[in-house]
Amino acid sequence: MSWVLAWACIFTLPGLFIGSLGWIKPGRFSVLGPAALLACSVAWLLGGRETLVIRLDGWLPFVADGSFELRVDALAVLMLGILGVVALCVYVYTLAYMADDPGIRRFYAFLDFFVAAMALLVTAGNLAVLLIGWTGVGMASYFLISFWRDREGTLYAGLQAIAANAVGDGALILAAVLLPAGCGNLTTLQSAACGSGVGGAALIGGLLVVAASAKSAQGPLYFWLPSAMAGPTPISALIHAATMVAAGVYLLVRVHLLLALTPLLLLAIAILGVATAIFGAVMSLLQSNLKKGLAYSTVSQLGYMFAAVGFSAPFAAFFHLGSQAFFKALLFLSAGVVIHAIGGSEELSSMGGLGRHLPFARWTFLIGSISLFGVPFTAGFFSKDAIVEASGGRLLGWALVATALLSGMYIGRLYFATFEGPRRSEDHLHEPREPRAMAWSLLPLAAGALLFGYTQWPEGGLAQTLRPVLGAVETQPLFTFQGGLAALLGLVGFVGAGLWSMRQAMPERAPGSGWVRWASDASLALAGGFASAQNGRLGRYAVITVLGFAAILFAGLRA
Amino acid sequence: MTLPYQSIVCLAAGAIVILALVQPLSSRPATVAWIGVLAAVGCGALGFVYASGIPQLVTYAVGGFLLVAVGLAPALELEIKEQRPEVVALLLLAGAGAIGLAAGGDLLQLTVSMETLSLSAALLVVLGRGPVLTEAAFKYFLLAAVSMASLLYGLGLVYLSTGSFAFPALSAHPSALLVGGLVLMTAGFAFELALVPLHWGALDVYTSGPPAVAGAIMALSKLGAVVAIIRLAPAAGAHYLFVLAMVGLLSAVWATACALLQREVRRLLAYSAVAHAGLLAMGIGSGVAGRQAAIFYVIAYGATALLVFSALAGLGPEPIPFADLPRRIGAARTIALVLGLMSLAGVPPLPGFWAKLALFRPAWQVLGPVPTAIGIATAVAAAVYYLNPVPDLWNSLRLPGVAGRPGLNPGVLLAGLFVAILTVVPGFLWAMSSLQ
Repeated sequence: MSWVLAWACIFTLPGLFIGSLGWIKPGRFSVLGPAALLACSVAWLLGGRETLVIRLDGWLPFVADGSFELRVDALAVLMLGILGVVALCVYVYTLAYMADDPGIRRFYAFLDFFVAAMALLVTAGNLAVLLIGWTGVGMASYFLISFWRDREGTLYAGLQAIAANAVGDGALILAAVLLPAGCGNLTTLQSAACGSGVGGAALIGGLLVVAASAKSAQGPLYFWLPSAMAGPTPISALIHAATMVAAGVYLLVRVHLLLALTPLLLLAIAILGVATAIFGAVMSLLQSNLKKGLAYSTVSQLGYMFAAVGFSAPFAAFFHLGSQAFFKALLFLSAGVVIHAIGGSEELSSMGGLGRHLPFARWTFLIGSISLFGVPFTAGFFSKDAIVEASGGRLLGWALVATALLSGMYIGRLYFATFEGPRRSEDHLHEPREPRAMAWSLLPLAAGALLFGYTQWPEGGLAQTLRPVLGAVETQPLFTFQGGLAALLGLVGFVGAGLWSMRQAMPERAPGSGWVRWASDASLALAGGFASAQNGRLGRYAVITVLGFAAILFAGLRA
Repeated sequence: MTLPYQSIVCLAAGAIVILALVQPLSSRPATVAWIGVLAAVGCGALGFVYASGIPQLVTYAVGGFLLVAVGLAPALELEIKEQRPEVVALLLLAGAGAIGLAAGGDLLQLTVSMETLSLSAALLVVLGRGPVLTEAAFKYFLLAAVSMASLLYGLGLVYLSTGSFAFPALSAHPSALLVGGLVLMTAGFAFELALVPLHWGALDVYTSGPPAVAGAIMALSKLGAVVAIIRLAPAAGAHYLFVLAMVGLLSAVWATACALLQREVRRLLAYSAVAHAGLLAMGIGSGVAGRQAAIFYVIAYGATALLVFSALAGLGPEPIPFADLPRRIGAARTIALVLGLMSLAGVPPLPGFWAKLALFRPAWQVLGPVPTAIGIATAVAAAVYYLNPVPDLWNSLRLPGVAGRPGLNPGVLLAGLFVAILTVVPGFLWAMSSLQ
């Protein structure tokens, strides 16, 4: 089974090609790809759990770590499994959600491409292969954000994503470039050979953290994720909530031994994570758009995972990655049912009181919400508790406990403003029923949002599976004081904010991201200045050419 | 290093045959193309037999580039159809010039080859296309003459200093006269490479030249210039190599910034050619490994640029908005175009990315962190402008009338094959680019 999973990156390619040819209805064949991914991952977990490394040496002789290396181990397979589940649900959901869209065939082609690139990212054994998947998911993300090219703002949103991704890609390329010769693969980056270059382990680790925070929308690189909500909702669920944005966390978990060499770096990651968790939660409270509210919530949850990495608890980070994948995908897809029903609007001001018409979406959204703010014995409760526990009672850990109040508030506000209270808009429902494919695809995610935590019980099953990769993890108690306190705070926030927001008018405009706009304006102005030199006048060209020769001569002779 | 005479003679013979038979051939484009193919294949084959090392690689690369370019000849949109044979002949001559520039045995051969290359290029742009392109070709010609002046003056200085036209030997402390001469000579070659601030002529030619020949001019002149500079510049000392790398960095930053504003496919490609030239110059300044990377880069770049221009072959000199492209060139070539753009943007695993990866490693070791970081920043910023048109292209693929459009041409197939090979097994080209 390991042999099959190593090539997980090609599972969706038959769907891509056959779907593009246009012989069968769009999406019908593509569904098989993620289904195969899920089935093979489950089979691996049930079977021998054999770790496999495929290695072709000398593929890229011009970099230090230039072999072609694929790696199948417990971490990779679990990530593939999560990708398989969420992708399968999203594929089925999309059959109904995009049924009337003329671009649905292209949409599935992009989806297939994304899943292939993501699978390659997950199974990558070294930086060279990782780079292929890493860039691939970034491109797929851009294509899908600006999928509705003629809608206002989608292009700008896509370019923002590219720009943020470029920062991360640059950092990753730099890391690949400066690894000294003789350095091994992703799992051996902590070796002495790898740390012998300029800057050592700290520099390589730091670059990987920059790359990860670009992908996972952390710190100042958060800006692209809320804008990315311009894409279709299934994309927001799959790429911008469950899988691709978690790739940064996945990378950091993968290289946790390298990060552990530099305590200062760990502290920086923890502070970055906690700050982003708080920032995202506050920003979510201010949004007027349902999906953007959820997007900032993703930023906040990814901050939790970063914090866990910073607390040297890679297992807790991955655990929360899994639960977040379930409950956030569920929240987005439920939100998609609502958006579909009211005819495409995402503004909270056009929602309210929809729970009566859309009972299924309401209940699934509620399940996602309680898992998110950590009601005891749901998935989110266990995984967040694992993170807080890992903080070892530091102030940062308590800050995360307090953030639970904000989490409860923002998700309560979104839930109540959408499903409860009076209708804010007079429009009739565009589609009063919940399409069956959409409803069914929510069920596995709802089950995951409630039950994923029990993979860790009894006896830390999940941690046992991951032990060969992440090392031994202490079994955590089923219920802790901090966990209970966080859950209580979350509940208070949820109910309080909910009751308050039900009667409130929703804001019309949300705060934007200032520095990005400023930076893009500045670079365009600079480019305009440069380009104006090219004015087509031969006389000027000739003079500049001659001056150029003189300048080069002058500089060359000044030894 | 000796000049691979045999390959040059083969190309020149092809050109002479075509020119001698212009009258009977002018109505038979297929025959002209076949003679060109024969000459290009002969160029590579003779290189295989008689040359070794870098000259051998150059004959292969030039042969390959010419195959693509000649394959496009039937697709050339000429106002004066009868001049097709001359275009093919000039392509072959430009190829011969590129080989001489890259592998010339002494400085005089280099100079003559450079002149052959730039004159052929200027003529290629203007030939057969009426008055529209005269302006671009004339600018290119005039600026090439200015560069030639620099080259000849430098040649004179080198001769004064060493007393011969042979390649000057490496020395720890070259005389100021020698350095000045070498600087002026390499700056003359940098015009062919299209480095800022010497890029004006090339920019116009790439922008307004017909795609079927612009790609070939770009690939051939960059290849010749890079290898020539690599052979000359080290003798001028480490300081000059550093200056060259900084000029390259300036080019990369400048051209990347300008390209961000372009909304028209060929102007975008033209600016990107300048940005790539900048990165190449950075590689030349980055030690032996950097020079190996630059040779690897320039060949991978040539193959990719030819893929892009082959996909655009047959379009006239007027600007083309992206959304209109699929209607003009058909679905299959649009996909080839997207692939080429991605490779130029440096998307792994395409060869454009491997080349950048190969280049930045020595740059880090020789030039230091800051220039490398800036170089990488320009490389990743390029993704913004290259990928910007891609969704437009995809979106218009399924528009009515796109599917039935003209399909692939031999140039696209061949260049696509080169790009595919370099994607999967880049290692062999890297080994061949070794300077030892």
